[in-house]
Amino acid sequence: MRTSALRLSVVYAASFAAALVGLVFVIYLLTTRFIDAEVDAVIERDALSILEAYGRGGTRGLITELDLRDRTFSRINAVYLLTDAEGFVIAGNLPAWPVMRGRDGRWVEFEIEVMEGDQELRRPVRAMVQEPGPGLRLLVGTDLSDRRDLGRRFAVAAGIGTLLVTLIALGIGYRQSQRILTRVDAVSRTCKEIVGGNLARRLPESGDDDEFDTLAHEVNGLLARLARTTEILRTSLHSAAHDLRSPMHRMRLRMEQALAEEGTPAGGAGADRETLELLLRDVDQMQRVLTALLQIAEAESGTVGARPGPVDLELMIDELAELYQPQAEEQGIALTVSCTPGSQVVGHRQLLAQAVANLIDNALKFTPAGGRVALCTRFVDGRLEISVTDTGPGIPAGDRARAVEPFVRLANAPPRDGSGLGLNLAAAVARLHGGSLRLEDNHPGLVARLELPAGVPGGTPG
Amino acid sequence: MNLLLIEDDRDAAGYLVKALTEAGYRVDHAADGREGLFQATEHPYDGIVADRMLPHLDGLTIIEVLRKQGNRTPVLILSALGSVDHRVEGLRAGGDDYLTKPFALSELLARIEALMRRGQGGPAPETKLRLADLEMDVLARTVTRAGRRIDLTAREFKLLEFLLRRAGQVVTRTMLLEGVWDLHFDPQTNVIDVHLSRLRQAIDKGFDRPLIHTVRGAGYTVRAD
Repeated sequence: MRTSALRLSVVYAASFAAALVGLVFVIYLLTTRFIDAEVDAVIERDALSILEAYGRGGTRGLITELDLRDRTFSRINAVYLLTDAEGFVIAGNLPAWPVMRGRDGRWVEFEIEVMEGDQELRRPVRAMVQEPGPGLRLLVGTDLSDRRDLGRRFAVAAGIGTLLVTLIALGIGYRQSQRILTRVDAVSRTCKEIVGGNLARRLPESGDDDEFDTLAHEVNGLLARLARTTEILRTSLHSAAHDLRSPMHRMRLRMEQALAEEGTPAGGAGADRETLELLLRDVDQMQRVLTALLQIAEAESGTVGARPGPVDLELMIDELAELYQPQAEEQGIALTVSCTPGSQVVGHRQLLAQAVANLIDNALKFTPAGGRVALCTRFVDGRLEISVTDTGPGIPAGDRARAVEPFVRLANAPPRDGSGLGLNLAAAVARLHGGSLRLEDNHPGLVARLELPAGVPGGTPG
Repeated sequence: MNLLLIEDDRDAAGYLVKALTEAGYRVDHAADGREGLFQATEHPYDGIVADRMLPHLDGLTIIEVLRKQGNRTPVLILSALGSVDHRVEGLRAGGDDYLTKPFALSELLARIEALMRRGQGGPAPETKLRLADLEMDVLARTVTRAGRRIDLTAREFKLLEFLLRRAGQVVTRTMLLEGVWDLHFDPQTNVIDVHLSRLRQAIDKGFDRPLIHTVRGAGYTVRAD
């Protein structure tokens, strides 16, 4: 752990230092290029004005001009030399015609030796050669020592800067890594506790609203979800045992009775057709309950094997209404649909269809002849709501919230045919899609509102 | 018709072999996945009924291997697992079928029959369907009986077409719900029966010979007699 903190800060420091050196180098390049252009321009201007002096006063004028410039230091670092054809010095501040190191047209570069104290210094010079008149050679240039020093200064600046940045980056990097690792340590300790069996433990949230808090929040959400799944699996097991016991009990009684009556005058040849049919009906009932329990458990724990896809709710509701219309008519119930166009979600079509079918089924079951059942989809605050409204007896206010809990069956809800778990499954499907199922009073009757969020798992509504 | 049954539950397999034999099939039984795949590759079968969970090789893998070998024998997978599964949806799309345990024997027989008819694969689907004096023009979307035009809703038309394409076969309620409405669940009420009774009103009312018959405990069938 500690070594990774160190490694991380070293990497930080190295990257910052490299970036700084690169930056200084670029600035150096740009600056020297600018200075070089400036030096050349100054020399050119100077040479031009000296030539003008020659034009006005010939060789004499030229000498006077150069002497004047030498005396008044009219230009910093200026180098002048005027010689005749034999190289004899006529005027200027150089002792002799220098040995050229480089030549580019009129431009030349050379070095001069200067005594400063008792030290002999070599100073680079850039200059321009002119021939003002026959037999005359004029050198106008600039001592570039300062410019050479500039490079050294940049190097020193880069060095110091790099050192500083390295130190600061190491410091900050180390502190940051320490901070991060402390938090990671906390997370890992908590995880160990959870793995150790303390499922109620949650990651610490510092309230700083940083990435770690976001992560801790997400992980805590995940843990809550897992805890919920575990709880659901536990209750589903309970519920399965409970719901299957009644039909099993009936079956057992019937079979025992059939066995007891076998051979007696009352029973004839034992299990008769009627008994078998009743047994078959009980098995079917058990099967329905089991299927519903399995589906609820799958939906609640989010372990549905199918992949979500785009679902056209409008079309789906229309089709379901059409499916149930004849039955509603048989029962003397008016089934109406009003859909908001464009109600599309991403989800599991089969499960959503089954959830809505269960709601319709439920509404038709409890609505008396002459009543109404209305299907409606609409957008409410960016959420999609599918409502199934009936004019039946409704559910008492106290039981409404419980009726949509997983596996809770209301005492007064007759299972009739079916599993009696239709509302529970619809609620589980809603939760699977990140939505909810609410039951409300319709004065009289029941309104079931299946609400789905705009952003459903598996993508955005398209 | 030759059937291969791959099922590891000996008792269940015994009942199924008996029931399928009584229904007129010649049935071979394999007790595990490897044996089943071996038999399926060795002998030409008209259809295979395989459990999903099998020792050595599961039912879905058997289908995959067979298809890779170019074997197109239709397979009906039996499973105790739920049906909301993308692999199962893939099965149905691929011309095979899936049935959740426990199932009614009539459901199994109806599905095997439907599957094997599909497996034989005729040429392009017919656009004119005829049964006794009933005629359906799928393209013109018209239905006549004894020359008299019968008006049907779009869904009734689809329902009748589904039945006519399987004339003589038993079609169960869940098959209708899947085939006509594309809904894969048990609606727990008799919604399908009400649709059928409406269709019957439209098709059979006023005629001596009913074409739509209820098969007790199983579903429906259309036939001329």
